[in-house]
Amino acid sequence: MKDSAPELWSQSAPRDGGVHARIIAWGREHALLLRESFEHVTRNLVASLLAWTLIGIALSLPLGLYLIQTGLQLITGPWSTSPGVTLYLQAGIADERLTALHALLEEDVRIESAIHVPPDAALNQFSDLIGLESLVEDLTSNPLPDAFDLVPVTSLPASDMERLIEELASIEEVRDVVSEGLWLNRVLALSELVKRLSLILAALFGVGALLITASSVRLVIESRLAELQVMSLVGATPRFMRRPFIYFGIMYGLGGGFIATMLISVGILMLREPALEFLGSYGVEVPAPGFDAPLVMLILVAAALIGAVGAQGACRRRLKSLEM
Amino acid sequence: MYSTLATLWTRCLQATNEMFGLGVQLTEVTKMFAGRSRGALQGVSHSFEPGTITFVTGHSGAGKTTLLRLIMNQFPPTYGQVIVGDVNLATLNARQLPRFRQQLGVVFQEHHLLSARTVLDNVMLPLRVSGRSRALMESRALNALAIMGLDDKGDVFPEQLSTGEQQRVGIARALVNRPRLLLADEPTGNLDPEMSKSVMRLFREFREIGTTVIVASHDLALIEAFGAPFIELREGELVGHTRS
Repeated sequence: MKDSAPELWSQSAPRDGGVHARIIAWGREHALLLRESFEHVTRNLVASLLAWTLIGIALSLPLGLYLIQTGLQLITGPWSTSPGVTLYLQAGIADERLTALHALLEEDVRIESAIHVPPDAALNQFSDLIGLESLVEDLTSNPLPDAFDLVPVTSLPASDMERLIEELASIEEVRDVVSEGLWLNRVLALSELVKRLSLILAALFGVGALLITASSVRLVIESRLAELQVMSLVGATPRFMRRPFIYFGIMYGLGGGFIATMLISVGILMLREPALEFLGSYGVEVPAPGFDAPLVMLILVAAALIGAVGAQGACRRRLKSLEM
Repeated sequence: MYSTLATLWTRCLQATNEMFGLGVQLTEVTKMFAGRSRGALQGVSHSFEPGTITFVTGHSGAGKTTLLRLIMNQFPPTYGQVIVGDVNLATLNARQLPRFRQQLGVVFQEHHLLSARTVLDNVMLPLRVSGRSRALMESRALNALAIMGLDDKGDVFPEQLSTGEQQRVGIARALVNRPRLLLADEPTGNLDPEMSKSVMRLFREFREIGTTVIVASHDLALIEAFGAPFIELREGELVGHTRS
């Protein structure tokens, strides 16, 4: 053991170097903590995987509903601005009357376009849609009436739309008026329902993910209590002691977000084909829902945030209860 | 002329050292623990002057460790007050407590080393929590280890060391921050006589640069050989002391 100890390090020790050096020291401290957290998570891989999976499952349900709702918006999108109206006429209307009726519809300022659909064209469309050409060919006569496909102006208020439909229905030659707005409203209502449901579930399962993170972090805290006590006794601030656990929380959150993304991707892969086939049978062609880079980033950031908040909560509660 | 200047200079240094060291004032301090009818400390009043070294002696269970833990504000007294420097510890809030502790160096009886960290990391810990630069931390910690004769042990883990070596790591950690107040609880308990004397010489050197040193020890022979003032506790009561 050497003597003259105090002089030894008071003379030879380098200075801190001011604010710049302190900032560098702070950055290095965080880098060190990040590395230590990563090492801890990978060293306890089974426990970490369990936590990631639980968080991933908790996040995947609201995420899945969000994607369904996005899909519904894609379906309703083309019609949401101006749902079409189909005017079915009585059978056997004379051509002159059809022409007059067409002119009448085109003159109406509330209607942007009116296209006459003759019975033969309608039958061909129907035949193409259901894919039973042979059955249609076997028909001795065309049962379909003349029709008009109308597109109302986009700015038409709902009340005016209802009045227009009433007026169209009151025309003597009109047998039936079918508005896309009816089913569109149903889909929009369903979309709104799914949206709200996903919000509620996002809140519930977000809290769930938060609690899972908190309890996982709490376990890590318990395993490092002795270390924390020593740190406290040598003057570590609560913030300093919380830091590594916040990183744990972020790691757990990120892992959970990644698992949720994977789960949803598998779900999309499994459901994409039957869903597109189902929609195709209604003549609806939409791009399959999926992830894009910003959405994945958003999921990971949100998951990391949930992890950080959960860890913060666990630390505050546990460290406060320590008598140091 | 020169001798006057030298005297003046020495006095200036002494004054600076006294300002650096933290005095400790205990006033009627009693500490009761749950489930025990008798206080671990009972009405203890004593003043530890800044820049001095004082031993606290007494048999096992006399209250030596409790006294040190009160001074480091590990828990509050049941009655009475503890003032360190000019701070009444009862007034410290959660934000002020770490800053207060960063001024202390503590040698624990049980070493309290972090088993998952290397010896060097353990010694650097007080500097790390106060946000010092890596270069300064390593330099001071390596020096502290060199002083304790552990130059080659920086990269090993505490469990790989003997009890005596662990004790020396604990001492190095307490000294690395150049504390204003050094509290040592049986610092020589696991050391051989020669090493014990070296540690005591080291503590004296710290006192000379102004650090206030309080050493809890039941080793009366060591205290007598060292010739420093002491206070004696018996069953929590202050039963005797020498002038500092």
